[in-house]
This record gives sequence, C-alpha cells and structure tokens, in this order.
Amino acid sequence: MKKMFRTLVLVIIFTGIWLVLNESMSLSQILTGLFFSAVSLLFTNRMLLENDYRNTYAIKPEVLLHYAMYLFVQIYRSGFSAILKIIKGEDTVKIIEYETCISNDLGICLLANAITLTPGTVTIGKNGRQLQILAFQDENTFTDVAAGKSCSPYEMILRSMDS
Amino acid sequence: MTDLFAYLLITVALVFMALGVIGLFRFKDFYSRILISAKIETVGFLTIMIGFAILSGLSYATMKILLITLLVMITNPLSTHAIARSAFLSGYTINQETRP
Repeated sequence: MKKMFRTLVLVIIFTGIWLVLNESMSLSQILTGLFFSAVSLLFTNRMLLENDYRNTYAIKPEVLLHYAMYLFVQIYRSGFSAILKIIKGEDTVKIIEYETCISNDLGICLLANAITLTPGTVTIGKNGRQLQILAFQDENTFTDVAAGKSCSPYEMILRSMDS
Repeated sequence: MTDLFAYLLITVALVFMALGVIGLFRFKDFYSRILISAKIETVGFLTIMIGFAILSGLSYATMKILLITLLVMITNPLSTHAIARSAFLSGYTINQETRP
C-alpha cells in the first residue's frame, strides 16, 4: 500500500510538470501526462536504476523543504560575503578534507550539491563519506578532518533522512 | 508596486553578475576564479529568475520559470564540480598561475 502511494505521488508530480510544460489543464493533457509519467517511471526503474526509484530517491518532503530554505538563505549570505572578497581582493583558497556525518548516499550527494551551490565553496571530490572541498581561506563551516569532527548545519538537516 | 520590486530584483541580480565578472578579472588564480564564477551562476541566476517570475505574475510562464530555476539549481553544481575536479585531478595546484 505504501509502495503504491509513493508511486502515485511521483506520477502526480510528473503529471504536474507535464501540464506546466504544455500550458494546458484539459482532460486529454491530464490523461497523456498520467500515461507518460507512469511509463517514464517504469522505464527508469527497469533500465536506468539498479535499485527501486522509490528507495533510491526516498526523502521526506519536510526535510527537503527545510534543506531548500536553509540553502536559499545560505546562498545569499555567502553571496554577500563573496562580494566583500571581490572588493578586498582576498583570493586565497584552500582544500579541506571533510568527513561527513551522513551515511545515506542521496544525503551525501545533496550535501555536495549544497556545498557547490553556496558561493565560496565547491566540492571537488567524493570518496564514500570523505569529501574534498575547495573553499576560501576564512571558510569555517566545514572543519578539516585533522582539526576534529563536527557536523555542519547542512548535515544536521540531512541526517533526519536516515531516521 | 510588484513590477517595481521585480525590476529591483533584476537590477540586484545584474549587480551580482557584474561584481562576479569583476572578480573573474581581478583574481588571478584558477581555483579562486571558479569559486567566484559559481557565485554568478547561483546568486545572480536565482535573483534574476525570481525577478522574472514576479514580473510574469501567476501564469504558466511563471511556473515554467520556476521549473527552469529548479532544474538549473540541480544541474548547475555538476558543471562547476566537473571543471574544478578535472583541474584538481590533472595536478593543477593552488596559486599555480601566480607563483613566480
């Protein structure tokens, strides 16, 4: 029943995207959208993914929303601090070796995505839970492995995916 | 009033982008340049798209703009990551260009 519900949610989301792209809410468009959504899900499950789509991309909507809101604020905060760096001409960078607290693979990918989206930090490597982060010299959100372990606020949000 | 706010956001986005371009010329190191270019892509792009969405009002165009924004926010880090990673793996060191 739960499996069915998750598939239905995905089909509805994809149908919504189909309707937006076609700029129409007619019955024929809704039916076509439902059909193509179901077919694309089936093909993705059978041919593109090793595991089931629902399990691979299992993320709670409230976690995703919290993550998106936090990321939005961080993008602007870092954006403004990057402006100061441009004005002052501070261009010293460093590479941080960082071990994440997240064990979920999707969570690690979302963390790497958030790091690159935040101005002033770019993920340049991922090996299991170990991330290599290129950052400006004064960046202190992510502590180096050598400097001791502490979870970043991003991880605190994404860790709730595991539970 | 809404239009004015949208134009203000678009102007702010253009300022962000302009500052990013200045940063690209000002910084000499490859790695610091890629950090700054990521700023143009994210802050500038996000702000200009929000501005356009507000300007379009509640319509299919707005939803398309938001959809494009979402897709770019997901795929954009991949290009930055690929460029930075390829440089790192090919042995490009920090401050290689500025070193005497």
